[in-house]
Amino acid sequence: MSLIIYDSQIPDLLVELAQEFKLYVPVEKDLASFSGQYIWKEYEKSDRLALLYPLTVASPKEFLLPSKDVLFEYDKEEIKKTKSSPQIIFGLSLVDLLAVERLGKVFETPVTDLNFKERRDKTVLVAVDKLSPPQDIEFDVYLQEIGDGVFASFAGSKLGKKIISKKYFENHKVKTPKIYTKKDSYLSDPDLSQAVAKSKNHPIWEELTKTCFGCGICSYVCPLCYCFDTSFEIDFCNNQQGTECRNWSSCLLKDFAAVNSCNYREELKNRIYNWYFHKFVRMPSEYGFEGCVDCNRCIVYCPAKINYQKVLRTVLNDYKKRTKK
Amino acid sequence: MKNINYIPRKGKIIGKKILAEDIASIEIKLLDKKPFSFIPGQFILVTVLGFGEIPLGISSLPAKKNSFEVTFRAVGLVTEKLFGMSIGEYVGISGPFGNGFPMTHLKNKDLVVVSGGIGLAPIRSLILHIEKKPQFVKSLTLLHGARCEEQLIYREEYSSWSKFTEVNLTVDDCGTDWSGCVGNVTKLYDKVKIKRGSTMIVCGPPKVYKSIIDRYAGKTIAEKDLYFLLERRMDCGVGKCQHCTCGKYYVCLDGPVFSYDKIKYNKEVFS
Amino acid sequence: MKEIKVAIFDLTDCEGCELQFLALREELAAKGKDFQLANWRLLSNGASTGPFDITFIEGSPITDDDVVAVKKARAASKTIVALGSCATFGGLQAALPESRRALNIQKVYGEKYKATSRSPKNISYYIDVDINLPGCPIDKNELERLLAAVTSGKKYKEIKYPVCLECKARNNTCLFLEDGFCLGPITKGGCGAICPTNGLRCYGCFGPVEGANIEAMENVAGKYTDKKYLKDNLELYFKNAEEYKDYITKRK
Repeated sequence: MSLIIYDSQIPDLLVELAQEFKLYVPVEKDLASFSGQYIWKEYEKSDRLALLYPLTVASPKEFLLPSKDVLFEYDKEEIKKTKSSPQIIFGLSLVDLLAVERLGKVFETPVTDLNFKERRDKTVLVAVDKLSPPQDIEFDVYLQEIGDGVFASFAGSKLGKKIISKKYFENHKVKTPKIYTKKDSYLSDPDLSQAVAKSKNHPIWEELTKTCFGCGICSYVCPLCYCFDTSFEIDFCNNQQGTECRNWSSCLLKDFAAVNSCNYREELKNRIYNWYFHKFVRMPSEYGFEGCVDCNRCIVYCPAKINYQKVLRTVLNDYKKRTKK
Repeated sequence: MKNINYIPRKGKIIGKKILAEDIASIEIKLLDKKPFSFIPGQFILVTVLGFGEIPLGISSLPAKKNSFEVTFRAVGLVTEKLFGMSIGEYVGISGPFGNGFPMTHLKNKDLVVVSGGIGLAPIRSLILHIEKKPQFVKSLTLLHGARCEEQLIYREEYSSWSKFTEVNLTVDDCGTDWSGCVGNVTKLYDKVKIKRGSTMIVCGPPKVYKSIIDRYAGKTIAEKDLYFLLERRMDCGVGKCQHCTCGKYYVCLDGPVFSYDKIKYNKEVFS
Repeated sequence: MKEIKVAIFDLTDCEGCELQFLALREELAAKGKDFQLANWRLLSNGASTGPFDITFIEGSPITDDDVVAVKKARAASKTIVALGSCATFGGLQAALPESRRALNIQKVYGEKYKATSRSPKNISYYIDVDINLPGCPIDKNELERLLAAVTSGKKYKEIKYPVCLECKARNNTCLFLEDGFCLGPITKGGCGAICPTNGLRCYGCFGPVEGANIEAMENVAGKYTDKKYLKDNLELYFKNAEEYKDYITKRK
């Protein structure tokens, strides 16, 4: 026996959930020129859901590490911590769920970032995918599509159990197929990290500067690029008040590693290398996983059409050639 | 290390000294009753509400309870504001962060300290520590350079330091009444005899690194005994924001003090 | 708090940037007693000759009188803000090549006519400018941020990321990919990506972002776009910007 939900029941479920939580769902962007593009948006009853979306522009990162995140408000010398409100992200793909899991690890190792944690603790994750639910990744509810518009439902938490015990879910005798994907070969290559680590002098970084704008789009859309700037904003009407925010940034921006006297990564090729180094060398050694879940957003949205997989392949192949000798 | 919530502790400026036309030293007292202790070489983030935050090395004696000093040059948004602030005003404090100087390793060593300009600030904390416990090191030699005589910070303390330190100074430009060495800090290398096997700490602009490495690394000074204090942009202090990364290291978590053997092949350190 | 004396002058422009002050009228009213609008042509009262704490100059100087006026403003002001892209870069009117301008003058006014106007330049061509606030028009929020900085004694910090950051934060797909051309990746942010959000690509009105890789723009956009079109578009706002001029010199 297994609990299932039909897609016709989902809107009613959402309406109920939206009474208690801020509810975000994937929808197709409605502006004519953006057809075929999916975004996350706060649920309204009129929305046409795009569950099993191919790819959303912004990753689920925006719910946990928003582009502008107010860390605290102040009035003269008194600081007031801002609170986030409970939210449900409904419809995460397995890949995006994995990204959320990793982002959580990053922000609790070795020091727990309480600002991130507060938001994460208030976030309910509902994944929807054709693949089977993962064993080692946290979720609240996992809906696996087992037939056209039919979803087998799994709970991964107390709250998840509560959700799938609602009346929209039915008990049925269905077999849920076990479907897993194999990992893409280059990411699982055991030499990858070493290859990137030893390739600072590879000509490819210089070559990339011919097309890479250094605009940082790859970072903004990446579910696992988490670097940030902090900034203060003073209230114009009352200069005694203001906020401290942390904002999206990108290590590809020119002033990212600059101090007054020196810019430690002034050259674009060094900044590009650092982007790869962070994801494929520093993060594996720090957290035990790459800063990449292979979601492809950086490939799809790079205006210069730079494909990091091709870059990695070149670096990896040349490394293997070098070390063979 | 403790968790971080990005809310700085409230500190009050209880002392302020102008050390040069653009350099000031302020003493800050933390208003909460929680303990604050640090190791020389560690840094804090000083927040000026509305303006921003900057990493500053602590320049006072670690033993002082609940108050400490930082010295800074007014060059940016935050430091310029801080320079204009007065006793009684408030700042935010986060930290201390980083590992500080390798104190156990420095014990009973012939210690040579090389600094340029404002780089003497975090070193002063160590010097004051040694002043309290002169037997901590076998000997202490300071090589310090500044743009001009007026830019030599902590000038009035040199005479008391010289009781336990060989103080060597140089200035790039001098007035008529300067009788000391003229030129940048490399000028002092020929004037000062450095014992083989000494330990060296370097804190100054990156441009002095190369001359130090060429002259001493693996020669008079073993690579593991040569320490650099690195300066980077930092927005968090706990290895998250990514601004201070140097190859595989975070300056905030793994540094800011690094021995040369650890960073020798790290191309991001000296670029 | 001491009252801040503000002057707003305009030269050759569309007055669109000045209008952003009106967009801030409620905030300005709330600050009322701290601000004294000492000289603004669009207000009937007050035409002080200075001194001013902060002077906004919109537009580009094109006559000898204009040049005298900006020099006078400089002498009378503690802080000069170049308001908008005309003041910061010379604006759209500066985009026309000089040869073409001469030809147009002949065409319109006849061969014998001797033009008294100068070619439009950025204000910093004539005087020192403390703060550049680009945009065509400027962004209300950026103006507010600048005024908040000025009134609280904080240095105004220029934005150092491209429009793309704001564009992606607003969930937009990439118009560069859709249309084969958009100046967003090399243009300074601060506008909130207002054009791309509404389906119009970026024309670069905020000028080049720090570290703008103009060479990459030529290489990548050049694949889909005709060279002249690309150059005309780059020079629409970038022509007098330092990053662009440096790039042109370097390329030679």
